[in-house]
Amino acid sequence: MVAATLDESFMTNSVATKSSTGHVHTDCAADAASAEAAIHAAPAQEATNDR
Amino acid sequence: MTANSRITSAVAAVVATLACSVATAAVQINILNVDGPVEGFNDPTPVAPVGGNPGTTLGEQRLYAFAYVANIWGANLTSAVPILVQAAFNPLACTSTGAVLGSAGATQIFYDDSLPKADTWYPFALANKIVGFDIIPGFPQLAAQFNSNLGNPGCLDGSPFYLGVDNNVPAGQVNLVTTLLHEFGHGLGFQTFTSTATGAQVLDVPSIWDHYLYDNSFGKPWVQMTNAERAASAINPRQLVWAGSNVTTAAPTVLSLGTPELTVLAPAGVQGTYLAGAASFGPLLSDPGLTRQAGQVVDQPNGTGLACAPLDATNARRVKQRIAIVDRGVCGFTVKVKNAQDAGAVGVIVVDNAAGGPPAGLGGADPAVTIPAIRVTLADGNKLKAALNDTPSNRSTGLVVRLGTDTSQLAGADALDRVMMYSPNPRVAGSSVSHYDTSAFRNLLMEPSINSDLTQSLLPPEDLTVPLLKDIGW
Repeated sequence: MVAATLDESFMTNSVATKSSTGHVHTDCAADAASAEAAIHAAPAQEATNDR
Repeated sequence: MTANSRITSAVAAVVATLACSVATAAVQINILNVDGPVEGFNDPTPVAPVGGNPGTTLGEQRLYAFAYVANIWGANLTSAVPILVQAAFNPLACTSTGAVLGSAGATQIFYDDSLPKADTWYPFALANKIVGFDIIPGFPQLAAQFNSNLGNPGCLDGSPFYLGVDNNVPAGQVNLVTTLLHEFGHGLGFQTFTSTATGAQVLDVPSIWDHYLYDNSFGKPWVQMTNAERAASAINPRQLVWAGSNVTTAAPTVLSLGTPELTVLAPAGVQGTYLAGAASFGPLLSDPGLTRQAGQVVDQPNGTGLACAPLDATNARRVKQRIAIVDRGVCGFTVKVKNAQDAGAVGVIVVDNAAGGPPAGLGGADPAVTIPAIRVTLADGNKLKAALNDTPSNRSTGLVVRLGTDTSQLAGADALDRVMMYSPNPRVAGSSVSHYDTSAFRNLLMEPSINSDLTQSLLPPEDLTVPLLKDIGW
């Protein structure tokens, strides 16, 4: 039996972003680095899917 | 977090509460609480029971929600080997308007001659099921951590996890149960371990997932591709499909007939069919659909049209009795469509403001919207705009379009009912390939967006999660 240990880069991350109207949109977005980028970009890039 | 703390009395109490239903489960899934004494699952902050969650402290409610989700999964899978999920609540990355909710995944993968497909990686819990014993006794098969600060100032302010288990989520809160169902799905095997950026496999060995990925453009499965081909396939929108028999057989019982599409009838230079993202509000697209001339809203100095405010007389003339073309940005999609509707438009095309494809759907809800709307890519939208001509009286002419559906195919599947996998261009790291495509309708638990209309079912006719896991060996 050959085993490989998965590090955090193999874990999926859920992120939530909130629009100006207060609607919260949830995505299973990305690896950890991309998830952080997504939440910081949310207000400027309208990462939420409702606007 | 205390790394090796074991199940606390609080955990035991919650597990005992669920004992009856767990006893009937086809696989026992246990939560290993690794939080410290007064944090996370052990947070003693008093709370009132909510939505079927009887816990009276924040920690108890968190743990009850985890156990509830474990119970759902346990009832839907079979294995003689119990599954252990290492879990914790910790502070994770946040801003006031965005937050990492949590992460989860398998802890180990294995390949061996005793597994059904030779030289193929299997996720830990599935490998245990197949061999019939715990390959690494006592070691968790899944790991999960979720955000302990959610809803606090600076962390998606005022929008905490909804810890009820009744799927009746108040506006502005985040459904922990649905999020956990989704993330546990990944940890149980709903993912590839192959790089979607380079196509490279772990130690040059494919994942069991990759055996069922088939690219209609390349005409072959991922396991027969080179690394470069796999990388190209991962960004080949709506051409990458799941070729497992359980999913394909179940797809017609779950997905609706009718893939959203935009058809341009004139002028000749842009005639054709374009990919479209459907709206979650307003009337459903239909066949034969709505055919009209299109008119563009222009309300910004740079020539774009946001339609975030009631349209002025000039723009109202452009869109009256026509399908309005507006640009994404600044305000909600429902606001744009309602403003166009109020100005007399009979349909709306929202042009994306960022490059890439396929076009995602239009989220939001407003029962006052009564006209259909779709989203198209930035590139396609620019083609449409270039085909428009304005008369001296600002009546756009020349572009005739149809908003409708292709009723020959299931929404989110190819012509052979093989369900599409998420393969946008550009790639979304960690998300591409390991989800169903966003064009699936009804919405599925394992799409990248965790939609608000999901049930807690993992099975047809509501969902296609378990059929896929059965394809890979569950």
